Amino acid sequence: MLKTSRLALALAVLVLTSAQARSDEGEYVLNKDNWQKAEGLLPDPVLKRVKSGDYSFKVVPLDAQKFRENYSTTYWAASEANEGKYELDAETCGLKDKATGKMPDWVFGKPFPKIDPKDPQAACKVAWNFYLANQMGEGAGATFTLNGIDRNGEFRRIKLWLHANSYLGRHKKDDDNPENLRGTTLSHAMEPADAEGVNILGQQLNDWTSQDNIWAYIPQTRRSRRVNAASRSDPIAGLDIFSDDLNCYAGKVEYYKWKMTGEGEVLAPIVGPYALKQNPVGPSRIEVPIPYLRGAYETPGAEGAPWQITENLVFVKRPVWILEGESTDPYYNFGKVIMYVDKDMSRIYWKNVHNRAGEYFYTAMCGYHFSKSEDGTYSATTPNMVMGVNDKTDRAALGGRYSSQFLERDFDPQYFSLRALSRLSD
Amino acid sequence: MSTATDSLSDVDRRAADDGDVRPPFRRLAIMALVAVLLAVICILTVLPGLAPPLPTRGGERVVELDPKQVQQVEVVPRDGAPYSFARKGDAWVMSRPQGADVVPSDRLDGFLETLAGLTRLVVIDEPDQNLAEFGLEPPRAVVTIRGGKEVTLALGDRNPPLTALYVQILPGTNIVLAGAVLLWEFDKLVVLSKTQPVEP
Repeated sequence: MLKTSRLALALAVLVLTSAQARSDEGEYVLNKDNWQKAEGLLPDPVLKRVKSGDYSFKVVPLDAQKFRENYSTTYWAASEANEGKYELDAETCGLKDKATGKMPDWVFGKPFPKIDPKDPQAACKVAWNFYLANQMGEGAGATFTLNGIDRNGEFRRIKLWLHANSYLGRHKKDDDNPENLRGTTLSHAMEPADAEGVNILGQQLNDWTSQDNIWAYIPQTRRSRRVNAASRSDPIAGLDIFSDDLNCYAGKVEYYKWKMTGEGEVLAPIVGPYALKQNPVGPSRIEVPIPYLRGAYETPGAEGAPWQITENLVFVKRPVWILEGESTDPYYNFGKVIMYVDKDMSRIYWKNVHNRAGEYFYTAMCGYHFSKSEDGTYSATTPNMVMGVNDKTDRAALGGRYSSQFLERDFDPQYFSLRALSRLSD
Repeated sequence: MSTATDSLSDVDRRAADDGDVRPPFRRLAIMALVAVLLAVICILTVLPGLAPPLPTRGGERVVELDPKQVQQVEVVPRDGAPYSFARKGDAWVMSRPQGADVVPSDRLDGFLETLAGLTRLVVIDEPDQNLAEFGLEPPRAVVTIRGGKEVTLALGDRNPPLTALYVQILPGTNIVLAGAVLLWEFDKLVVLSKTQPVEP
C-alpha cells in the first residue's frame, strides 16, 4: 500500500513538474504576479511598469526557423551572397561598395550578414542591416491614427495616411530614381480640423553626408516650407511620439554615431508572429489585412495603463544587439538613444531615449508585422505600431495600429513631389 | 560704317569727347569686382547673424572634469571587491584582485565624457537627509577619479521615474540629481569588472 502511495506521489510530482516545464516554455501572460520572469528581457522602465501592474504582455513560444522565414528566400540568399562585398566609410559610417569605393545605388539583403561584436564598426554594420531590411517591401502605405493618451484616456487623436517608397534595399532594383534617393515619404493629415490638410514630403538622398529633405505644406498659408531634418526629434503635434519613431529609427544611418554596447535577449512585440498573407489586387499592388491592435483605453474594463495594447500583439523572446546611437546635430533633441536590435531579423524593438542633459525620459516600443508572397520570393516587414511612453510625464502616445496596408512595387516617382505635396490639399 | 563710339552711351560718348575712352567691358569688370567684394562682406558679416544660434545648455556641472586629464578611475562597489582602471597611453588597464587586463577604452572614455557633460538637474541641500532613501547609505559605488583634479562620487539609486540618478560629490553632503545616462555608462564598467580575466 505504502509502495503504491509513493508511486502515485512520484507520478504526481512528475506530472506537476512537466506541466510546470510546459508552462515555462509555452504561452503565458507576463504581469505583476510573475514579472521576475522578464528580468533582463525588458528595458528597466518597462519592467518597472510590468511590476507595478501597468502592463501585462502575452508571451508566446516561437519557432525561430519559421520566424526567420518571415523574410523571403531571396532575401536570405542575397544576404549570404553579400558577404565581403561591402565596407564602411570610416568617417561617416556610410555604406561603400568595395568594388567601386562608392555608395551603392541598390543593395538587397543584409550588406553585413556576419557581425563580430568586437569589430569597432559592428554597430554601424548592424544599423545598415536594419536600414536596408526596412526597405525590402519596396513601396507601402496605410491610413492610421496617432493617439495621445494619459491616465484618463485619450486626449487627442490625429488621423493621417503615410505612403513610402524605397529605392536602396528593395527586392528588385528600380532604375527610375532620377533624384538618387534612398527613400521618400508622403503623408497627409485627415483629422482633426486643425491638422487637416497638413502634408509632409520627405526625401533621403543616397549619399553619406546630406541631411534629409523635408517639406511641410500648411493649408492655411497655402505654402510649402522646408523643415530642418532635426525636426524628426520634435514631438508630433504635441504628442509623446516622434517622427524618428518609425521603425524605432527613421533617419539615415550616417546621422548617428553608433556604438555596440552588448548583446542579450528581449521580449519583442510582434503581430503574428509569423508572416501575414499578401493579397495581390493589381499588377504591382498587394493588400495585407492586419488584425487591429486594440488599446486598453478603448477596451471596457481593461486594467493597467490605458495605453497598453490588449489585443493581437504578442511578445516573443529574441536575441538582440544592444546599440547606442547619438546624433552629432546640435539641433537634434535626443541625446543618447539605446536600441535593442534583433540579431537575425534586424528589427529595433525597444529604444530608450535620453535628452541632451543625459536625463532618460522616453521609451518607444516598436511592433512589427511581416508579410510574404505565396511563392516565398517577396516579403515585407512593416512598422505596425509604436507605443511611445514619456516616463517623465507619465503620458504616452500610440501610433500606427492600422488594420490594412498596401504594398506597391511600382510607385511613380512623380507621386512623391513638391507638386503632389500642395495638390493633395487642393 | 560704324565707329568704336557708336555703341557707347551718352556718358561714354561725353567721356570719349573729353578724351577719356574707357571700354564698357572694363567698367563691367569693375562693377563685378565691387559686387564680389560686397558679397564677401555680406557672407562675413550679415549671414552669420541670420543663422539660428546653436542651442546651449546651462546649469552647473555635476563635476568640473577634463576627461583627457584623467589617469585613474577607482571603484569601490557596495558589494564585491574594489577595482580600478588606469590609463596607459591610448589604452585603459583594469586592475582587480584576479589580475590586470586591457579593457575597451571607449567604456572608460564614454563614462568620463558623459560625467563631464552632465549638469545638476536638482540639488537637495537640506540637512539631515536619510541617505538610505536615496540609495546612498551605503552607496551603490564610490568612484574616485584621479588626474588633474581629484573627484570622488557616491552613486545612489535612480529617482522613482528612473529618469535620473542620486549622486553625492564627496566630501560634500548635498545630494545631486544627475541624468540617468550616468548609470548606463557606469554599468558598462561594472560589466567589465565581472568579465572573466583573459588567460595569459
